[in-house]
Amino acid sequence: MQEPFENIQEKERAAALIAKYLRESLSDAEKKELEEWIGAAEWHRAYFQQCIDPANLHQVMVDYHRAADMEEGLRAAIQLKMGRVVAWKTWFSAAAAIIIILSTGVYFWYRGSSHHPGIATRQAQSIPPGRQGAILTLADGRQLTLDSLPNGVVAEQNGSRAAVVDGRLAYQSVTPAATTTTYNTITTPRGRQYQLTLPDGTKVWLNAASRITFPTAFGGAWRKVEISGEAYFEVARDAGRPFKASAGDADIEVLGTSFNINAYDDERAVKATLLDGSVKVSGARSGVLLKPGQQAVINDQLQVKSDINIEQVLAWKNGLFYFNSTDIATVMQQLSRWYDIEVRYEGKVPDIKVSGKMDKGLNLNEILEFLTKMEVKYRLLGRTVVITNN
Amino acid sequence: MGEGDHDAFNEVFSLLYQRITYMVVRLVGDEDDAKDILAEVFIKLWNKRTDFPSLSAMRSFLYISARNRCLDHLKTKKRREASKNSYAYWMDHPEEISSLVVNAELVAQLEQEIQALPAKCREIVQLAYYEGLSSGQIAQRLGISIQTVWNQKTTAMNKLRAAFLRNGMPGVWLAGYLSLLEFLKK
Repeated sequence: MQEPFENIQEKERAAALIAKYLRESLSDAEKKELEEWIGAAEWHRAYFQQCIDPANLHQVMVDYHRAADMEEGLRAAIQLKMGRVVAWKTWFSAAAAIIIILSTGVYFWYRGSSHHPGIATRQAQSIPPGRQGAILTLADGRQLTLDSLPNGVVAEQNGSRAAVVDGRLAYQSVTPAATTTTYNTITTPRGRQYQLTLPDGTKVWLNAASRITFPTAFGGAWRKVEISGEAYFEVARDAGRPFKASAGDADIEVLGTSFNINAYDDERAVKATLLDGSVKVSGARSGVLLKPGQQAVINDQLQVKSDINIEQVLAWKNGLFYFNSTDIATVMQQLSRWYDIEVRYEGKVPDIKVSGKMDKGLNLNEILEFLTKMEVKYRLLGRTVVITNN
Repeated sequence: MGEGDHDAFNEVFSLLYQRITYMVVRLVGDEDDAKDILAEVFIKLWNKRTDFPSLSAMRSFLYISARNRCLDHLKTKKRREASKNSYAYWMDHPEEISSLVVNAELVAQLEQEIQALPAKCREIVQLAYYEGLSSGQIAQRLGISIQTVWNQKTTAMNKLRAAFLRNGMPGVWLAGYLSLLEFLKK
C-alpha cells in the first residue's frame, strides 16, 4: 500500500499524541485516538515502539539538533539564490548598507575627479571632521557600512544577533552558540570612530583607522579579541572568563576593568593605560601588573609610566584633541586620521610643541588656523597638508 | 503572510527550517545537496507567499515539496540501489519518509521544555545530551568549574521535572524519555 505522504496534518497530530503519551498526559479520548492511529498501519505500530525506546529517541533528537547547525549556511544559500531579491529584514538592512557603500564610493570618486580649481579650493578649505561610523565584516566576508544604518538587526550568526541601537552596534546571544566560533571585524577608516558592545557586554570605543576582531559569541576559557589602532575598553566583569586583548606582541589580560590601548602600526610603541581595576600587560618577553593611572609602553622592552594624564589619554573618546607639549608630528598624525588627510613635510619636521584642547567637531581649517598661532606654517593642496619651515 | 512581508517570512523560516532540514538531510544524506534543495524550497515558499491561508498550509507545502525535490534529486543521482540514500530505497520504504515527518514534529514538541530553560542551563543540557560530553568536558569547554556544571545540571533537572509535571504526571517520561535526566546525573 502506498503511504499517503501528503497528509502532513495527520502526522503532526500523531506526533502531538505521542508527545502527550510520553508525558503521560493523554485524556481518555486521546488515548483512544492514539490507539486507533497505531492500529491503522503496520509501520505506525513499529514506529511507536521505536519512539518509546529512549536510545532511539535520543538518536532522533541528536539528528534533529544537528539540523540547526545548518541554519546560517542555509540562510546564506537562500540569499545567494535569490540574487537581488532580498527577502529578510536583516538582509534588507545589509542591502541598504551595500547601497550606501556604493553611493558613497561614487560620491568620493566624483569629488576626487573634479578638475574645477575653484571648487577644489573651496572644498579643501572646509574639510569636515570625522564622524561616527565603521565597516562591519561578517564571518562570511560580507561587509556592511555602519555609518547611517537605522536601528535594527544587521546580522544573525551562530546564535548571536548584531543590532544597531542609536548608532552603536551591540551583540547579543539569542540561542546557544554552535560549537564552531565565527569572527567579526569592525574597522574604522580614517575620519570615523565607533562604539560597540561585545557579546559579553563589554563596551568598546574604536578610534579612527582602527580595527577589532572578536568572536560573535565568547566560548572557552578566555574572552579574546584582537585590535590594532586605538581602542578604549570597559570590560564586563566575568571572573570565570578573563578578557584578553592582543595588539601585535602585546597582550592585556583583565577580569573586569577599563583601559585604553594605543597600538597604531605607524607609532613606535603600543601603549596600554589603565583607568581602574587591574590588568596584566605582556610584551614579547616580559609582563607587568598595572595599577590604575599607570601606562605600559611596549616596544622592544616594556616600561611602566605612572601619573598619566587620563583625560589626555581618553580625549579622543570624549570628542577632543588634547595636546600637551605634543610634537607637531604626533599632532599631524592624529589630524590625518580624523580628517582623512595626507601630511607631508617640506624640509625637516619643525621643532614645535603644541598644547591645548580642541573640539573634534571643528572643520580642518579651524584647527589649522589654531596651529598657525603656534607658528606652524602650512599649505593645503586638496586633501594634503604640507608643513613648511618658512 | 502579506506581499513583501519580510518579517513574517523570517518568522516562518525560523519556526520551520529545523524540521524540514532534518527530513531533507536524512533523505539525501549529503548536507551540501540538502542545503541546495532546502534553499530552493524556501524560495518557492517565498514566491508563493500570498497563496497560503495558514502556517499549517505552509508547513505541509514545505514537507511535500521538499520530499519531491529530494526524490527528484536522488533519481538523477543514481546511487547504488542498496544505499540507504537512494531513490530506489525510498520508493521501497515510503513509510520511512513519513516517519521522518512524525520524528521532526515530535522532537519539535519535546524540545520546547529544553528551549524554555535559562540560557546557561540550556547550553549545559545541550552539551551533555546532544554532544554526550561529561561534566568535566563541559567545564573545560565552557571554562567554568565542574562544581558550576553540577549546580547548573541540578537547576536544569529541577526545572525540567517541574515542566514535565506541569504537562502531566511524570511516568514513562521521567523513566525513559530522553534518558535526559540520566545524562544530567553524569
